[in-house]
Order: sequence, then structure tokens, then C-alpha cells
Amino acid sequence: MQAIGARTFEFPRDHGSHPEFKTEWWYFTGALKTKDGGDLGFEATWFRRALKPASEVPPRSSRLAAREVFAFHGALSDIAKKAFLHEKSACRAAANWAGADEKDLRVFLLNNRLERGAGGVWHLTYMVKGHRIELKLTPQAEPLLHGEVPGLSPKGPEPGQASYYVSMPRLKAEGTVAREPGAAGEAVTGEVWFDHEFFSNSMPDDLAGWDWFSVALDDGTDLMLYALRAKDGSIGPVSAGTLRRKGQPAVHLTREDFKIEVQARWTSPHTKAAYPAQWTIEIPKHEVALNVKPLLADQELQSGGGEGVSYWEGLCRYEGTVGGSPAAGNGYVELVGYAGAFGGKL
Amino acid sequence: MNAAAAVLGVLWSDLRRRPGTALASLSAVASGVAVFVAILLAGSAARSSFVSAVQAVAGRATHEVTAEGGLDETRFPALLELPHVAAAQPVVEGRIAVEAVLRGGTSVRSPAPPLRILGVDPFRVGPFLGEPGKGTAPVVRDEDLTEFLTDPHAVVLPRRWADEAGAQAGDTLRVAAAGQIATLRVLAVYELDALGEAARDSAVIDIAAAQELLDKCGRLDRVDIALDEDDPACEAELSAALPPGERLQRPERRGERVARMIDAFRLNLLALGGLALVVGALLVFNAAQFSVVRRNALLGQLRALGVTRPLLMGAVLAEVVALGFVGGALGLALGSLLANRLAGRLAETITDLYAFVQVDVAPMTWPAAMLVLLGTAGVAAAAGFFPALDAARTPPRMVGLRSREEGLFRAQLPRLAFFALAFCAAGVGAMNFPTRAWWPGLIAAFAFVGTGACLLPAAMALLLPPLRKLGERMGLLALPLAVGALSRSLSRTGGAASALGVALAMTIGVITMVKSFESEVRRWIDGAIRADLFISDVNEHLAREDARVPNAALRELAAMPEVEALDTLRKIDLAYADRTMLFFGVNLPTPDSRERFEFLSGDGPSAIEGMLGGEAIVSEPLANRYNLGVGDTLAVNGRRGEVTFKILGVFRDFSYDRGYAVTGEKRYLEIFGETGVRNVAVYLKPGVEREAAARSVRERFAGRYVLNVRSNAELRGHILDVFNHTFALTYLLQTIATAFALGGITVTLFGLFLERAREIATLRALGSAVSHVGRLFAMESLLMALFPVLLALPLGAVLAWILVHVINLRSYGWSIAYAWPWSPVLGTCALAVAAGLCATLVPWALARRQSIAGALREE
Amino acid sequence: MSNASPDAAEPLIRCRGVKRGYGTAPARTVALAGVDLDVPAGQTLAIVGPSGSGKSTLLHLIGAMEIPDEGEVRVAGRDVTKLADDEAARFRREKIGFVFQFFNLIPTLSSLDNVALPARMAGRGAAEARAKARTLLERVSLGERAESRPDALSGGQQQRVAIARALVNDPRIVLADEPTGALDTASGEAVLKLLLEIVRERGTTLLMATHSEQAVAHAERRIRVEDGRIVADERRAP
Repeated sequence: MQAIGARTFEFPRDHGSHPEFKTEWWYFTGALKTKDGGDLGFEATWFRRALKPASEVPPRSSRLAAREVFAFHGALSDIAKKAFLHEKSACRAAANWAGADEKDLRVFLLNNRLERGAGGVWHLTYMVKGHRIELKLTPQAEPLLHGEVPGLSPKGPEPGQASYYVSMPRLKAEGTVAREPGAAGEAVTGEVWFDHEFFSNSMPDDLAGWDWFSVALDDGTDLMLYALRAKDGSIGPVSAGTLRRKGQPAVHLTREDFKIEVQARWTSPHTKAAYPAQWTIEIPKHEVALNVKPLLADQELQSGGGEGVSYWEGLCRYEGTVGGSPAAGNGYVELVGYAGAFGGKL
Repeated sequence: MNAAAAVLGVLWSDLRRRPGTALASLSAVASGVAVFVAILLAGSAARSSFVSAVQAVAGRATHEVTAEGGLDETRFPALLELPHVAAAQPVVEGRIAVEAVLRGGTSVRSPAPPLRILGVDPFRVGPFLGEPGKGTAPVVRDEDLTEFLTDPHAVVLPRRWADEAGAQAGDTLRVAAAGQIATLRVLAVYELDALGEAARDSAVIDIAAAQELLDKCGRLDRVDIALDEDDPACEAELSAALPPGERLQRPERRGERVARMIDAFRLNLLALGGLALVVGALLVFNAAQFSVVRRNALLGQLRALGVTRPLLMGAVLAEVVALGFVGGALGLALGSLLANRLAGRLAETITDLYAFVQVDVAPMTWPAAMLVLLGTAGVAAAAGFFPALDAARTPPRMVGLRSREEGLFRAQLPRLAFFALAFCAAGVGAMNFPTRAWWPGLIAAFAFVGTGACLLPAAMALLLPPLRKLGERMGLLALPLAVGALSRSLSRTGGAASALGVALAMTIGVITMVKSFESEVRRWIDGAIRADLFISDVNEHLAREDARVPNAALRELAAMPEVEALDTLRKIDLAYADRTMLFFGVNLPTPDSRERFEFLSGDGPSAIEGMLGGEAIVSEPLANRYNLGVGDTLAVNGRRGEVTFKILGVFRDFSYDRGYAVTGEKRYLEIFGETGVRNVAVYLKPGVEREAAARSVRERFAGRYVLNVRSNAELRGHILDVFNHTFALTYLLQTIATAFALGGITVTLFGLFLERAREIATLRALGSAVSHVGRLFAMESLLMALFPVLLALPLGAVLAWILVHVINLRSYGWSIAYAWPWSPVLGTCALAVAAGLCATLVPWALARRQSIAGALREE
Repeated sequence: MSNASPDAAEPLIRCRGVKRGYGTAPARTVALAGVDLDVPAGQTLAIVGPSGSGKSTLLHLIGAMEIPDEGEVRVAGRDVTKLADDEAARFRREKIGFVFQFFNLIPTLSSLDNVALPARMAGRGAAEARAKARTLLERVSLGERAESRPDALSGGQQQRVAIARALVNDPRIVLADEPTGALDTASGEAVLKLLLEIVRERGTTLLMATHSEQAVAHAERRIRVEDGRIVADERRAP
């Protein structure tokens, strides 16, 4: 099945897995604070990829037989310690090894799991390099459906070159983060942004990568923007975003509505890739002007070896004005396609 | 230094003048060492192939978690969370037979060598997708990954096997696994450096496919673990965190456990090799003794020329030690060649009896080779010590008197008698050593062999003169002459006769043991093999653990109108103490099937009842090995921790020397889970003819299952075949030892005849025809074989007794009744005598051609 | 086989054109290069000559222990060069007695049994052979050493036993190869005297290869062999 046309979303069912689509991800990024006010950022992402369409896979008697593969990317940014940790793993969707519920929000890869529990509280648990992160997430707002057709987010000019894309900004987070390997967790609070996308088609051929921004500002504004970069460096026409100001309905932003300017660059010592490292974002129509700056330069997730893509995904400081009033907050930026071709896979 | 060189030079020139005896003793040493080395190499290769076959596949993994009957697959995520687990690889493995390699529908190789199936998860740590920082190519390439994961038949073959079987990517393999025919598709061929030498026959497939292929769905054989820090504290912490039933161990330890299974077998073989060495040492002793006696005159002259006693002793010893070294080196080379031949036989036997093994003999390491050389030289030095001492005691004189020479040897007789006594005392001591271990039996056997070896020359010295008197009184002409010739050369004939006697005695001992064993096994088969048909996996020898009678086949059998009942057997290998044992789960559906246990202790009917109700009965070897008896508690590990059984009976069994316990099917399944039916005994309805039923089952199963369907008579025959096959190796070694003991006799006789050329010529000058000379030779060789036979009969009986009642009982746990098999024993003796007679043919032919005048002229 | 000689005039031993060499060219040595010799029955003949001149070879040829390359050796009217092994053995047993330089007694047998041995080989019963042997041992003055082994006897005594052995089958000819060669002068002389005495007593023909002057002096006839030929043939009255 492909992401074409409007879709009627139904939650929590649509937080769950959509195995009829080839690719799906559950993307959590969050800005946390420790009791003493230290900034922490985290990323926890589950990727689902179907190996073959269901019709092509013979019935199997082993419960370990793989039809889908899950990957998990976990990262932790400890700004005070100037530390960035990340870890990737992959596992077949089988037995209790990895998988996702089709009826409700439950996704897991070995011991990295997210589950919607009683009372609508989400439980997120994962490990990164021996650091255990356990958070309870409480939704504060309605799901945010991106795109002109709500929930359909085009990624290219052709029909089907699109994904169904839903966010849950501003999940209230409460829990513990181990700041040393194997150590007991420190209590943290914060806000988490959840992205959920699923689609079947691969990306357009001339897509070089994308820059993605998300932030929940202290004035109650939620902002998501993505700029799809073509191989010639230009920002593609289907780049888009969503803005939801406090108490107002979400507004779809098109390519013409925003302007992103790179203010600085940073070269990765690991992959030698040159990433943009500071931006100004302007959305004149909605009086948004923000300066975005990484809280830690090196928040690059390197691929382990041959497999996978290296990308930068990090906690950033967003500061500026919205509707004339000052607004600020810690949010995330994702930069894909700078360290070699991303080849359309994640 | 110069003096030593000069003395050695003289000895060397003398040796060169008569190379025959030197060559004979050289070949004796070489063959003894060769047999020993061959057994050593082949045996340890077999053992180490068990150990190396269990190497971890998860890159850095140093440990593994296992549970009896396998781990539940859902345990895997939890294992990853345990302390110190840095990485883990779930493994499902087994062995399959490859019936054919097919390309485009036609067979390019049939059958192909068997494969080890290594079911892994390519996403877990390890070399499967290529490890960062390792220059090796991955086993599963990126582009193959999807097919590898989704095609239940996709397999990646190791390069070595693929080359051997002529298989390549795109081919299809028709395989037999878990009692069924399956096909595998060759996705790719991986290079060996990825997994190491141990994986040379390991076909890598997805773990799910492995579960399906090997009928192990739901289970993991083990999980390989890499600890974050490989130290005992971490190991202990992780171990403690495991739930009951799961065990953390180093893979080598599992290998060790398995390898220990064949220890008794291997050491028994090595003992036979030791025997070859003893025979060789006797022949060396013989040679050293003779060289001193023969060169008595030369040594006396050397003494007269001022050579000191220590120098002379040193020179003679040096000569013998040099003989040991050269013979040892030849033996090493010969043994390495022999080992390769032996390894095949050994692998077959071990596969028959214990577990599938392929043996590649590694060349001997230099330190080991040096050890063997030094050992040989040491044995030679020991054998040469007393002769060298005698050499040193030679009084200085210019002319040697022949008459004195034998006197020297006769002076040894009290010494020999003393040694015989000492050996005998050692043997008796070893027999009474308070232990259940079997090695004192071995020591006793060797001690009694030593007794016999020392006793025989003394006995000859004592018995020959009366024999000669007897011959004279009876008016026989050749007998006194022959006896005279032998007793005059007792220094040589004694040792050679000892060597043959010892070899014959061992042969008789082994024959007696085997025959006693065989009659016991025949009797046991009559009671134990009761059902009408027996069905088992054709490839049971390849994969004891994974052999199956598929459930579908069982259902079909049960539905056949001829079938009355199915007696199913489930079987599992368990770690027990420091080795392994077997545990059986049975249902015993008919009254007849309950009769198949012959109880040695316990009340049969109630033991069977209690066992089916969840207690246990144990086989005699298990009871003997671990000192278990009726009323004791047997504690083993089940998949959920330790479980205990009350032992209700001990029954006779000859099928597994490791020993096993039996419980009812219900309790078995509770404890170990469904491990699959390993084999099934079929009881037919009254009036159904066995052979016809066997045919009909075979026809029904053909092309779908790879099952052996044997009728009662066929299974009995099969068991006896395996039995005979097992001892074929023993017989082979025995034959080698006896053959070169006979060779020793031949050489001795030959030397004796050559040396007496002048005497023979004199006889002929006095009017003796060549045929008379032949008769004389025959008489001598007859005596040379008869004395060993006289030694071998009682000594063989003693050795057989030790083999049956001490070594067999203690090492294998089998109690068997001693039965003396007259005809093969006498046959062996007759063969030795006949071989001795044959040994005279060449000297006789030489004597025929010899010029009398020429021989008389020589002095 | 006819024992009777067709030619009554033929001597007991007749050699004609006898040649014998050893080895192969170029290392071939010629032991006898054409010997003609007639020895009548009862004669005592000393064969002298340097070492390697062919003395022993001549004796061996007459004893049918060797076959000449060329020529004829007739003993008691029979061509001994044509005998098969068992015929030759029988011929030696019945017609020839040997005395060797180194005695060649069977070391494991007593004096008596050594002497009796050829008689036993000729098929005589043990008792008969022993009785005969005992008589002969007494004749050589060793009756009291009958049960001694050769190694208990002196060289001279051993050679006397050997002489007794040579005569036990009443041979027509005794061939003695250096019979005193291994003995000191005194015992050599004694042995020689005994040997000559006995053969004369019994009318036995004696051929004796020797270096000993005494032996030569006591023999009726002396031939000298050099380089395989008879270079001198002297007779004297006994």
C-alpha cells in the first residue's frame, strides 16, 4: 500500500504498526532537564522495514521467521558533560525479539521498548551505551497531522512519493536518565516530540537529504519544518512544515512560507562531513523569526560500518519571536544526507 | 673425547659389518613407535575435533548460555539485559546429510559430504554481516540479506565444503534432516577466514530456517555470549543472574564434556599402542643384549687396549640410545603416515559409538615429537642398561671365548627372575589398589606382561636342557640339535620369544574379552530387542541430538492397520558431573515392551510402573560410573532447573557406555520439553508378518522420510555389525603388534641361521642333506613359537580377566561373564606357529644355495 | 647306481683337468688351473703349498662339496661332480670323513654325540651309533670324556674327537684340511700321529692339506700345489 490520498486516522490504533506499508518509524526526540537544571537531549527511534510484501513470504512454522526487520537508534546528549552517546541495533520482528502492535502503540526492539499503558501514559525505556533511560510520557495535545491533506506529507513530485505523517508534540516527560553507564537514573522532566511516519515508496531520485526542525516553544507554539534538499543543493518545492500556535488550529506551511538560512558550519571529525550548524528561520506570514543553535556541536550518529547512514540529530536552542513576543525552547534538528549518499534508506 | 670417538668408531665399524641385527632392532623400535604415535595422533585428533567443533561463532564470544533441551527462544531479549553481556548470538545447530548437489535439476554430486548447520541471526554480533575493523568478508553479504532472512531454504556454504562438493551459488542441495527430505538453495559461498577453521563444514542459515529444518521450533541450542569483561567475577555475577536450568559456560567446556565421552575408548586404544611400544622395547633389549654378547670378544680386546669401564659402558649405551633416536625418528615419520590411515577407521568407530566426528590429523608438534624421541631413547637406554653394564664388566683379554658369551646371559637369569617377581608384585598391588578407577587395571596388565616377559627367558633356560635330554632319550636327532642351538643363543632367542609371547598374550586377552563381550551382548539382544519393527532416522550417526522420527510419520504409522502399538523413545544428552549422560523418555505401551529391561537390581514390574509414573531406572554403566543404586536419588538439570528422581532399578545395557536413565514420557516432557521422538519400536498386530510389514512401511515412507525401517532380525544383525566394527580397530592394532613380534622372531631366527652358516656347512660336510637342515630349522622355529604360546596362554587368560573384570567394568561400566574362546585362541597360536615355520623358508632357501666349502672357509 | 667300477684299474680318486675359480672377472681368482691326480686306495697323501694355492679347493671337490668349472672328479668309480644334493650328502656320509682345521664340532653336543652324529645321519639307531662312537672315542683315548662338551676340551682333544667323528661311518677316504693348523706343535704332533695310525690301521685313504713339516714327513706321498697346479709329486715308502 502506498501513501496516496487522505487517510482517516484513528488513535490509538494509528499509533500502532501499519505492516501494509513497507517502511515505518516511531521517532522520539526530547529536551529534558535534570533537577539541577542541566540540559539533556535524547533520541529514541524505532524503524520498521518489511523485507518482502506479505504475499511473497511463504507461511513459516518458526516464530523467528523474519518478514520485517526493526532498527533502533538511541542517543543521549548530556550538554553539561559535553557528551553525546548513541547506539544502533537491528533485529528481526519475531517472537518477543522485536515488533510493533497493530492495534495500539507498542513498539519494541529487544529491550528498547515503548508502550502505551494504563491511563494513556506511554512508557519509554531504552539503553544507550549502558545508560538506561526510562520515561513516562503523557500526551498534552491532540495529534498533529502534517500536510495540506491532513496526515499526508509529500516527499516528491509523484503520487505515492509521500508518507503519512503524524506528530505528538509536547508529550510531558517524567522519569530517570542514567548519566553514567550502569548508574542509577537521575530524575528528569521535560517535553518530548513524537513523529510517526509510514510509507512504501522510496524517495525521489534527486533527493540529496533533508534538514528537519521541531520545537515546542515556551509560548505554546509547536513548529515542524522540513527542507528536502535536491542534489544541486536547492531546497525542493515539496518542502513543508506545520505551525500550531497556542489555542489555534494547525497551519500547513509550504515551501514559499518559510526561509531557512545557514549561519555556521561544523565539520564532523568522525565522518569529515560538513554539517550546517546554526540557522535563522523566518516565517514572515506568521511573524515567526527564530535563531537555532546546537547545544552541542557533535551530535552525529555514525553508522557502524558499511550498513546504515550517518546523520546529525541533536538538541538545539531555539530563540526568537513569535507574533512579536519573545519565544524560546529546546528542540531538535535532524540533518540527513551530509555524510555521503543516504540512498533512501534509514 | 678422542678415546670415546675411537671406541665408538670401533663399535660402528663392527655394526657395519653386521648390519642385519642393527636393522632388525631399528625396525622393531620404528614400528613400535609408529603404532604408538599413530594411535596417539589419531586419538587426540578425534578428541580435539570434538573440542574445536564447538567453537563460538559470535566473534568475541567467550561464553555461552545453555539449558538442557535447549533454551526457549523468547529468553533471548532477557539474556541481553543480564549484567556484563556485551553481545549475544543465538545459535541453532545440527548436522545434516547431503544426498545430492543439484544444478539446473541434474545432480552434480551425490552424495556430498555431510554439513553442519549453523543457524544464526545475522543482526547479532559476529562476522555475519562483517565486523567493523576486521578485514574479512562477511558471511552474509548485504545484497543477500533479504533472501537469507526470508527464504527458509537459503544457505550460505563454507568455501572448503563447496569446493569439495563442487557446489556453487545457485545450486540446490537435497538434504536429509530430522528424518525428512528437504532442499536448500545455495545463496552464496563464504570464505573461511570469516568464521575460522572450525567452521569448515558449517553451512550458515537463518536461525528460523534452522529451527524448521532441524525440527527445533521454539528452541535455541545455545546463546553465545561476549562478556564486557572476561574475568571470573563478571562470569560469576552473570551466572548468578541466570534462572534455574540455564547454565553459563565456556564453549571449550562443553567440548571437553563431549570429548570426555570418548576418553575411556581412546585410552584403551592408547594402551594397545603402549603394548606395541612394550613389544618394541623388548626387541630393543634383545638387540642390545645380543650386541654385547656377540661382541664379547671385541669388548674384551678394547678393555685390553686400555678402554676404561665407564667409557665402554658409555659407548655401548650411546650406541643403544642412538638406535633409539634413529628408530624413534623413523617411527615418528611412519606413525604420522599411519595416523592418517588410522584416523578414518577411528572416526568411523567413534561415529558409530558416540557422535559424528570427522578427524583431520594435525602434524605432530615439534615439542611432542621431541618428547617421543626422548622417550624412545629413554626406553632404549633402559633396555640397554644391563647389557651395557655387562659390557663394562667384560674382563680384558685378547681372544674371546665363545663359551663364555652365553654364560654372561645366564648370569642375568636371576636378575630376570627378580624382575619377574617385582613385576608380579606390582601387578598384584595394582589389582588391589582401592579405587574404582580403571587405570590400576591397566598398570596391572602391563605389570603382568612384564612378569611374563622376564619369566620366559628364564623358563627357556630351565626347560630347554630337560627337553634336550628328552629328545636324546627318544632318539630324535634334530630336537637336541635345535634345542642346543636355541639355548646356546638364549640372549637373543629369549627376548624375541618374550616379545612374541607378550603380543600373543595380549591378542588372546583381547580376543577373550571381545568374545566374552559378544556372547553377553547376544544374550542381551535377545531380551532387549522385542518389538517387531524399529524405525529411526537414517542419519542418526550424523546427528544424535537432531535425529527424529517426524510426527507426521508417527501419525501415519499409528494409523496403519497392521500396527498394534508404538513404543516411542525420546532422548536427550545431558551434562552430568563432568561429562555427559543420556536421559530417555519412554511410554512402553504393551506388556511385552515392559519386558525389555533386564533388571540387575530392583523389582522389575514395580520399577517399570514407578518409572512410567515419573521416577527413574538407570543403566548399569551409569550406576557403575557414578556409584548409583536402587533407592538413591538421581539429580539432573532440566530446562527449568534441577530435578530429582528416585532410582527404582538398575538394568543391563550395552548400547551406551556413558550410561543413561529412563523415565516415563510424561515426566520427560515436563522436564525437557518436546525434544522430538528419536526412534520408535513398532508392535504389530498378531499374525502380521514382520518382513512384509517392514516392506509396506518402507514403501509408504519412500521419498518423503529418510527413516531406517528395520525388522527385529535386521536390528539384531545391525547391532552385532556395529559391535564387530567397533572391535575391528582393536583387532587391527593387535594384528600389527603381533605381526612385528613375529617379525622379531623371524629376524632372530634368520640371524641365528646366518650365524650358524659354518655349523650348517659342517653338518652338510658330514653328510646332512639340505632337507635335514630344513627339518632342523623347522624344529627350531617350532620351539621359538611354542615357548611364546606356552607363555601366552596363561598370561592371555590373566589379561583377559583383567580386561573383563577390571578395565571394562570400570571404564565402561559393563559387567560381563568371562568366557574362554578355545578355537580363536588356539587358532591364533597355530597362526603364530605357522608364521614361525614360514620364517624358516628364506634361511632354508639360502642354505640350499650356500656353498658348503665357502661357508667352511669363512672364519 | 652301480657301485662297482667298470674299470678295475681305476684308482680310488681320479681327477682329470680340474679347474675351479672364484668370483667373476676381473676379480676372479683361479684356485685350480687344471689338476690331474690319481690316488690309489689306502694311500696317505699330503698336499702342501702356500696359502691360497688351491689345497682346500682340491679337498672340497673330492668331497663333493663343490663342483669344478671344468674337468672330472671320480671317487670310487663315480663322477662326484654330477651328484644331486641328497646324493652328494649320502656320498659324503658313506664314503668320506672330514677333519677340519677348527674342529667344527657341534658345540651343543657331547663328544659322544658329535662322533655319533654322522652315523645317526646315515640312519643308524641311536644305540648302535653311540656304541660305535664310544669305541672310536676310546681309540682316540677320550673314552672318559665322552660326555664332555667341546668347550670343555682342549684343542688337541677336540681334534681327536673330530677324527673319531670322521671315521664313524667307516669311510674309504678321510679328507683333512690343516688338521694341526689350530694346534700347538706338541698336540699337533700327537694328533697327526694318531690320525696316521688310525687310517693305516683301517686302510683308509687320507688326503691332508697341510703346512706342517711333520705331516709331510709322515705321509707316503707328497704333492705340491702352486698357483692351482701340481708342481711336484713325490712318493716315498711308508
